[in-house]
Amino acid sequence: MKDVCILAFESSCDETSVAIIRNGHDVISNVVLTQMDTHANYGGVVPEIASRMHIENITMVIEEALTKAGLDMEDIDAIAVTYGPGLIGSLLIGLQAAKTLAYIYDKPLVPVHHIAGHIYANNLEKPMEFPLMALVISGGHTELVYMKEDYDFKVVGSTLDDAVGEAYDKVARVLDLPYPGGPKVDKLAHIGQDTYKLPLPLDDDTYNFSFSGLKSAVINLKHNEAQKGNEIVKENLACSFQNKVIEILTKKTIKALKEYNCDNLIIAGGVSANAGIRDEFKKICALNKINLTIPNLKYCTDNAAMIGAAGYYAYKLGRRADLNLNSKANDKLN
Amino acid sequence: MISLFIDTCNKQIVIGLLEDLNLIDEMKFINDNDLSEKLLPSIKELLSKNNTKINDLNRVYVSVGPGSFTGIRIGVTVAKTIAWALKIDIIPVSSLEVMASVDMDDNICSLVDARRGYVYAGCYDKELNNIFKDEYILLSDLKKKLEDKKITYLSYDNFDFDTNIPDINITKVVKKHMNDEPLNPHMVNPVYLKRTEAEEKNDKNS
Repeated sequence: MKDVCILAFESSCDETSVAIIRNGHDVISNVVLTQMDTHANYGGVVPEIASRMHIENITMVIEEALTKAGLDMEDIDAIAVTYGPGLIGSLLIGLQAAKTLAYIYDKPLVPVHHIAGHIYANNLEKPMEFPLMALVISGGHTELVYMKEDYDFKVVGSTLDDAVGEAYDKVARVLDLPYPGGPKVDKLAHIGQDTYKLPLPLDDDTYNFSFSGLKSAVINLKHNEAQKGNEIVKENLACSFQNKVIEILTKKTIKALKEYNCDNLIIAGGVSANAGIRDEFKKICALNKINLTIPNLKYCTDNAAMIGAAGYYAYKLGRRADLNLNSKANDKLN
Repeated sequence: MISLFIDTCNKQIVIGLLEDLNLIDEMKFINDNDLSEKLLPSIKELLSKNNTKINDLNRVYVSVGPGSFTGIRIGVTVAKTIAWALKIDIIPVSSLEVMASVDMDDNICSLVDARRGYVYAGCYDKELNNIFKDEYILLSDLKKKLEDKKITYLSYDNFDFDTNIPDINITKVVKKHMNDEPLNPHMVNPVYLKRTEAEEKNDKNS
């Protein structure tokens, strides 16, 4: 079969990324320009600054992706782009650049949902086996997705309020950790002990999640301890918080795997870089004889390689967009 | 020399196709919050109805602001991607100068409402030479500055004094800039004339 090369764009938040992926799994090049250091000055991503940085860098990132791959546009079979969800001003830059190239070189344009991208990051590790359950955990998403086959997404549960990554960043602020705080909470948790009593959030029969109550419990706990004149042991509070997150994530995920009679689990999204979560899932999946795949750390956070992987399957299924494709800040996984 | 002209910075979107200094065709439409969808299909339509292929282009003129941040970025992203991909010249121009490109003998002040009493303003003579350089300024300060000058105000926005609606003359802008040094497409970026609120706040605090 003829090789298929996808030129992929991702600019949904604060990473400008362009990649070239062959056959949905070979990464020929993957250029990721992160703006994280700039946004750290503001304690979080500032959408207008993100948009401004995307446009300054977009053509340079495209050029580097092609140069690194040693390819030119004639070698490209299709162009895939994250159309949403994400920050609208950021999405627009990758979208306009992708559409412009699709027009100039008369290439098929393939729209890709950002979360489909995170899921297909696992295809860069090893071919995805179906049926599978995907646990998507990031700064904007917490979802359990059942897939019978390629591009067949059934969301069986999702967060009712904060996403996991959001809860981590907020707890990091309570612990006075600088942005981005999520990875720092994970680090502290690693050396701390589970000494603080916190609730297990939304421990019910559904596959939905809720993290705002847990986050509030952390805030209240710190406040109450301060009232009593007690200093918080940050490491221990981070550990107690992280343990509750892990406990509910593993509990509901394993339950969903059993109900759907499924023994393949993949974890996707920025929070899948969390060492505590990775380790616990490895243990529990081994115990339950579940095949677990977690993307390489560099494909956990936003990148265009994953969009190229998802884009390949979307392309094979005949999914196409016209030049009037627009970005969407919110859109259901499809 | 075939050139494409793009201005997406303000309410009226203008794209034009030129051969040297002859305007072959142009499209003007109001941005009804659908610029992201419409810009590329419009460019494609403009070119194809004039039997021109995108590869025939030798040059892009792009209006880089000030104006709507999102509008500017859509136009500039498309323009710099075209110029980079086709390896052709790209020449940035001011959106206020584009607005001032009317057929009038007066001195012109182009205005864009920037909210909270501020405007983006650019003053030009009839040859499109800058009288004052484009700026982000309190409207009251601008009026003081222009008090004793005979000047015609042009704007798409409404103010509590008379302004004329700009009637853009693409050829006039292109004529003025045809001998400009082209830029590397990577270096063509929006000119917002205003920093983000987050940056302004950070500066105040430090």
